[in-house]
Amino acid sequence: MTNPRRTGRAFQIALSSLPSLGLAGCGPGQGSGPPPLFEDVTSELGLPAAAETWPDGTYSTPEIMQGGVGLFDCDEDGDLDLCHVRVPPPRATEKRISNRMYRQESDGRFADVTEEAGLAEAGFGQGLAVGDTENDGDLDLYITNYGPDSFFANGGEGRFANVTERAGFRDDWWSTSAAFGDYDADGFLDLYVAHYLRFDPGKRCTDPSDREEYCGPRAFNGAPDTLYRNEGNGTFSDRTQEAGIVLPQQGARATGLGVVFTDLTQDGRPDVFVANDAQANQLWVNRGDGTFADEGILRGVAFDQQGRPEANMGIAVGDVDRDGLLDLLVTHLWQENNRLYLGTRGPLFRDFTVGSGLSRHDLERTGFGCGFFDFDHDADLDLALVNGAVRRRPPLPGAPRGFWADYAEPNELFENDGSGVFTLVDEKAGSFASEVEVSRGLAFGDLDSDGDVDMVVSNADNSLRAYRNDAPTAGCHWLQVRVLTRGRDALGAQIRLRAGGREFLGLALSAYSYCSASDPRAHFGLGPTAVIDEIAVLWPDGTRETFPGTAVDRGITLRQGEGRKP
Amino acid sequence: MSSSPPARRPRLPSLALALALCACHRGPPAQEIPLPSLAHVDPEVVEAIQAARDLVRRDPGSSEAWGGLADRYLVHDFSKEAARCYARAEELDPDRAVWAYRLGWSLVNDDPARAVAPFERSLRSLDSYAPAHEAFAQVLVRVGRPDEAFEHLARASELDPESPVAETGLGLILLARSDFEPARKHLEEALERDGKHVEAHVGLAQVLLALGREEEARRHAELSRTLPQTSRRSDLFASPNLPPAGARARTQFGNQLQRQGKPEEAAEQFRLALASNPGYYTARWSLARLLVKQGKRDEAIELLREAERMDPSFEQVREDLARLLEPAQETEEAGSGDE
Repeated sequence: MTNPRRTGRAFQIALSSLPSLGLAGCGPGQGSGPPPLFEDVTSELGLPAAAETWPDGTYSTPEIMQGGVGLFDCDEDGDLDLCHVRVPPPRATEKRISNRMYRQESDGRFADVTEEAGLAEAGFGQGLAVGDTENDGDLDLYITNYGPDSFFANGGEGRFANVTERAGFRDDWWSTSAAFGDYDADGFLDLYVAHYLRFDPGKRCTDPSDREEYCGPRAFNGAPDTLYRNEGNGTFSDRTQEAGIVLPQQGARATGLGVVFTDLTQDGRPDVFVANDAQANQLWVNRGDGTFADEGILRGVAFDQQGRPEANMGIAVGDVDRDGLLDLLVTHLWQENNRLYLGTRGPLFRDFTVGSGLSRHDLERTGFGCGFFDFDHDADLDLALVNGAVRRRPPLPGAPRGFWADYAEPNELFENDGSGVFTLVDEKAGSFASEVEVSRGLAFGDLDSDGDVDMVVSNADNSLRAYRNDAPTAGCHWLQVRVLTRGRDALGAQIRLRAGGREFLGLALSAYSYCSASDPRAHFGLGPTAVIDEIAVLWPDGTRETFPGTAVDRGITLRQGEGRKP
Repeated sequence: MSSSPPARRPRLPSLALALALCACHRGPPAQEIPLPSLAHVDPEVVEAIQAARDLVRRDPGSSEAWGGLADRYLVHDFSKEAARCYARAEELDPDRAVWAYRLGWSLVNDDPARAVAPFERSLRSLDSYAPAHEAFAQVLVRVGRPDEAFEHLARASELDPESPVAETGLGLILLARSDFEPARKHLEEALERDGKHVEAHVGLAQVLLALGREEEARRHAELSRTLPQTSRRSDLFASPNLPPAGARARTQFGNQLQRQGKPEEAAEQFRLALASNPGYYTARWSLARLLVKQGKRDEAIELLREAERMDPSFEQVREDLARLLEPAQETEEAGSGDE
């Protein structure tokens, strides 16, 4: 979103000469003093900035794990709408609460349309996954809960119906993140649901000073995840066992919080990466015969660099070092580093946490939602993280008073130098990094269709924050690519732009971060590159196509079958 | 009747006395002794902290007193306060390596870069102690100094040829450098020393995959899943030996006593833990398990039923009760997990 205050005609003319200066004139930090890059526009957009009332916590773990916020076009009118998954307040007698659906109106503000959208049903929300499961052009909605999950089919124009039972979903575990993807290449989106714990509400935990505290994952057994196959007729079947998703120890050591569904092993088949809290992460490698094998340990993405498990929460995925390979970032508990695994040409990922510069800043924060995105269009992927503790910690400056002071933390924005080395730019991040809250979900999307990527954050007290991207991007170009297969977003597809002797890798992905759903259009910051020579797409069914080049600073749509086979 | 103003004169000598006392006070005044927020902390823990603070107040020039307070903070996870007290203890007695060593440990999670120097200092005296080299190497890896870490691990391996820890560390550093063949040798050596060392299996799985030996790689990966996570190496200098305070510490101490074959003393600790916090289920379960071993099954069952009455929604207690009611059942593996 561009700040209207800074887009006067004179300003535009002044900047229009900058592209000829090349990359030096592209991106933030140029000129005098760093301007704030993100502005909190929650209230301006008509979204709820403050929780109604939020009581002190009761040390019941589900009350602090909420994460769900989703950006997607629910009514196919061309702009992004917002779904907010909510948790009942601590101490509420009724442990169920309705989620909220906000439709973006023509003036850019959001209107609460929960009732008319058919999403007023109450639950104990955690996250959501968004995808067109029937290839009918409408985005359907899977809501994960602490308790039974819900599946809402979109009947068109953003009107949903709960068809959980009819569709064959029987998921009573504590579900967290979920991701749609087509693992068997039959053209229909399947669903992977991560489960967290077999939570026991009666269990009480203490810290080493014998103060009551939220129980961590080691206080309980994990719960096995579920893989649902889309049968192509509006129903899904549980294929978890058949697909071999049974490790580790039948789920006892699986404490899933984050999920990504795309090809991470360069064989053209979509894999599933799961971040497990205090246990080994899993990389479910798709064998192409309907089964998966966990190669997280083998490929070096399960543990820290000393071979030990960490408190893995959210996941970001993207090519941060511009080598044409996907890299993974996993967020962690405070006193642990958020971990960056770089893809390599060999079978292993390489732990680049220390070299990336990220480890200098993250020991004081508990990371949840996260994502790589090029906020300033300078042709590399930057990083946003949202934070909030799950264990009591000394209150930070700016924290709210009272019970939640011990859990509130500011968010963080990191700028990439193009080689996967990041610098904390909190001072430039504006209110995104200055508000000290207990944040969980983070979703990305171009809220006002101006070409740059904005962010929405959900907090543990059911408040939302929308951050408008005001980063100066003069002289930098961009491209948004929507890839469609059978009339729907080709979730998991990988898009390579070739331009000026360089290659840019992007993803059509909605599910990453933590319990959240982002706009699946691939967004590319291009720096001074003004013409794209060619676009290559790896479709989720493993086929590849190339498309002719295009002009920049626009959104384009590519359809499977309309490109040239290599 | 007129009231006379309060006499001021006596105050002067008091002030002078106070100043004189301050002057001969070699350490900081009480308010400079680090104190974390103790809100909601178990009263027994608060009492133990106050006692340790009193010792510092009484003898602020004593490294022993400062180190004792630091130890108390460290075991109750007040690591920032612990670090400040260890630093003072070291200042007062720089020759006592344990203060620098524990200062390193108290900083290792919050700020590994700051832990480097004290660990390095401690090695002047602990150079022949393998765990100190391993701890230092671990920190060096975290701060991106793997070459120096490699040297310390090599030294640790020499000092303790039985331990798999250093060899595993050497293998993992080489793996990170993509020196796969030498990495394999170190990781295999680690497994020679301890075939159940899970991190060595994890590292070797990756090395073998990179070397194209996929089947063997998978075998090690699979094996690593079945093994329990390696517990922290026993380290006499790193772990303060303090009288337990609070339910959690008493339960841990009780378990330790039980392993040492002292069931009666263990039971006493579990009971004290429950007296301190009746809701601390780990203590309850530990005591119940011990009672079963002592043939007091009924007492054990009553103990768990009491927990059930306290919170009927507590599912685990029902499962544990079912285990206790099955006479032939092994009870060791049940109970509450690590928090």
